[in-house]
Amino acid sequence: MTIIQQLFRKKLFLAGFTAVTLLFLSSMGYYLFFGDHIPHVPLQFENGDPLPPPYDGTVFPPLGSDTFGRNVAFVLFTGAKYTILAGIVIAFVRVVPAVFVAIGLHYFVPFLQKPLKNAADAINYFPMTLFAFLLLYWIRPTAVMDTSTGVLTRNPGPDMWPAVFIYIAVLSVVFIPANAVLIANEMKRIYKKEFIASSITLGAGKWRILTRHMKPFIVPQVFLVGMREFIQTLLLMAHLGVLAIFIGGVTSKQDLFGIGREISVSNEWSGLLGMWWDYLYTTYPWLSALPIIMLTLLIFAVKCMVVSLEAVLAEEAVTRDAMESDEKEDEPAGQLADSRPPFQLLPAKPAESRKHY
Amino acid sequence: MKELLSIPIKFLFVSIGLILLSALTGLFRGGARPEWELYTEQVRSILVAFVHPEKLTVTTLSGKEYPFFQDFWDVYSYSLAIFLPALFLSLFLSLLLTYLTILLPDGIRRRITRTAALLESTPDLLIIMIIQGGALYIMRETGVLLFSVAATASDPTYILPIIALSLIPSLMFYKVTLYLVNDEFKEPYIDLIRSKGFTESYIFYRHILRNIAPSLFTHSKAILLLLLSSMVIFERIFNIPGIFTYLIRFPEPDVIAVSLIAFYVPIFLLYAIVTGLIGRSTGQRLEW
Repeated sequence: MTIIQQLFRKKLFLAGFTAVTLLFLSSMGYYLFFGDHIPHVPLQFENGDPLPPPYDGTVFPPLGSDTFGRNVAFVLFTGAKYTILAGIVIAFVRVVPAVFVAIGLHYFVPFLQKPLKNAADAINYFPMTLFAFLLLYWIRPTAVMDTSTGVLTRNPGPDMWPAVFIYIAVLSVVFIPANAVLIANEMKRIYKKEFIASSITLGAGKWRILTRHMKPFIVPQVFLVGMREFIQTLLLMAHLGVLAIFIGGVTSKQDLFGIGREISVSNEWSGLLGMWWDYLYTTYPWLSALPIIMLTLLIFAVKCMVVSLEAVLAEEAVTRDAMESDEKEDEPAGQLADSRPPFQLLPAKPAESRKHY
Repeated sequence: MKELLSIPIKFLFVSIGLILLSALTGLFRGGARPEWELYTEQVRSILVAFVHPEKLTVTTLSGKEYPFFQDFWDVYSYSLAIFLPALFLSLFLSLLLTYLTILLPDGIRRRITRTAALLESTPDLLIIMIIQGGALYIMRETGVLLFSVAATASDPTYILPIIALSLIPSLMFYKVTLYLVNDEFKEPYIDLIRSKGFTESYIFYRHILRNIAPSLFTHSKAILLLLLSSMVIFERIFNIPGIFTYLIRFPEPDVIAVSLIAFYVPIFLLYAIVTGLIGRSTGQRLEW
């Protein structure tokens, strides 16, 4: 049974996987077929007096409206795809180049591994939120005061797509060394296994060992690291959102009463979190709670997948260890050839065996 | 001798890394200028700042310059006064929770282990929001301010940020400890001690805790790093006049490098001392 088949038998994995995929696909579909149309709430009246938005979920179900009278449920729904997509892209850039760096490290420059580990360690002691903030705060439009003349000018910052590209680059590139060291260590551990030694004896080259023998071990690990990085990315994005750095930049928009407010263009969740955080101190704190609750649910869904993948890999390791120790009992001499049987004979389940007795 | 040298060398490596990264942030102030000359210039100015720290200044938005050390020790000690207690509190909380867990029956214990694995990735922002929102709600309903929600210059708040900061790290640490303890319980010597009639609590305190201490210590580094990156957002939201809000206000590369290395020193000393102690009492040399 392959790892993927085993994974899809885990309820926890299925739950997390379905939740993330459904959310992403439906949000994407809404963009493709309805062009991200967000319904607006008409101005509500109470005893003939206009009642300014936001309206809460009891006045305007399901989740109420924001200060512009936009339906919050739809705002969150349209932002979901950007949040997930950004997380996936950043996690991808953090992990996939790291695999190639790790291969290079392992085969060609193994002596660089220790210095690189120390360098990656230094990055750890620079708080990531602070580092990303310092590298990114110039891309958000700011009012700059010329110190000599005292004139305020608006610095628009770079265009949207370059800004998105820079955002992704900053959040991903600095993590490549640490991940490369992690994967290189994993490769070193696998390289010590007996069957690698045996296939080297039989004349396998580096490429064959890499693609035939290491790949089945490395690929699940890469997925595991990738999902963990996805979670880390979402947390970091949320932090940056609170520090007012949003993916896709900000624009100014007038609310129902003509007051200009800065809003996140993409309605992406960490941006919404940053935009609405201050409402915690007003009479409508539920508005600031919604994005962080959604983010938490998304993170839990991915964490469910991580936990089940870890469990499956642990089970694999246990059966493999059991097989290896069995072999050792049969053939006490340390064998080099991989004498593992082509199929496994697992012990019968205790409940079934009891029936026969 | 080589082992003795490895600790200062590690300090040196991290310091160099911090200097190089701080210089990198200097290229992105008010626009991106990825130029090599500017970068070397930044590195040079940081090195100068280490030779003549008394000449270090910070520039405010209005263009005024102040000596760096005028405020630095205040914000530095405030941040440390929150960071170190939070670290110890999360250690203590996780050990206490682990102790309570091992007293439970096996089935519940397994379920708790899984739940802890899920909960450890709770965003710290959710915890902050629950705590701040909760305090505000209680205040609105009853008029009683349980604890000050945000700090002001005259009224520094300690307890709330320390507790809030330590919650998620203690969950993470709890998961690690539980895993180590479960492993240790499978050792044959535990069966022997049990057969002699000692209680679970005695076994936990006398044997388990002592045997998992080295691996516990190695894992504590991950918690430390998590705490560090949470600190930034905590200081911002609780309005704590600490070292990270200071750095966001004055993002000058030399100031950043000096402050971060200064913050790293006590952490480093703590780890160096504990490594030495564990090395002497157990003979294990620890990597961290």
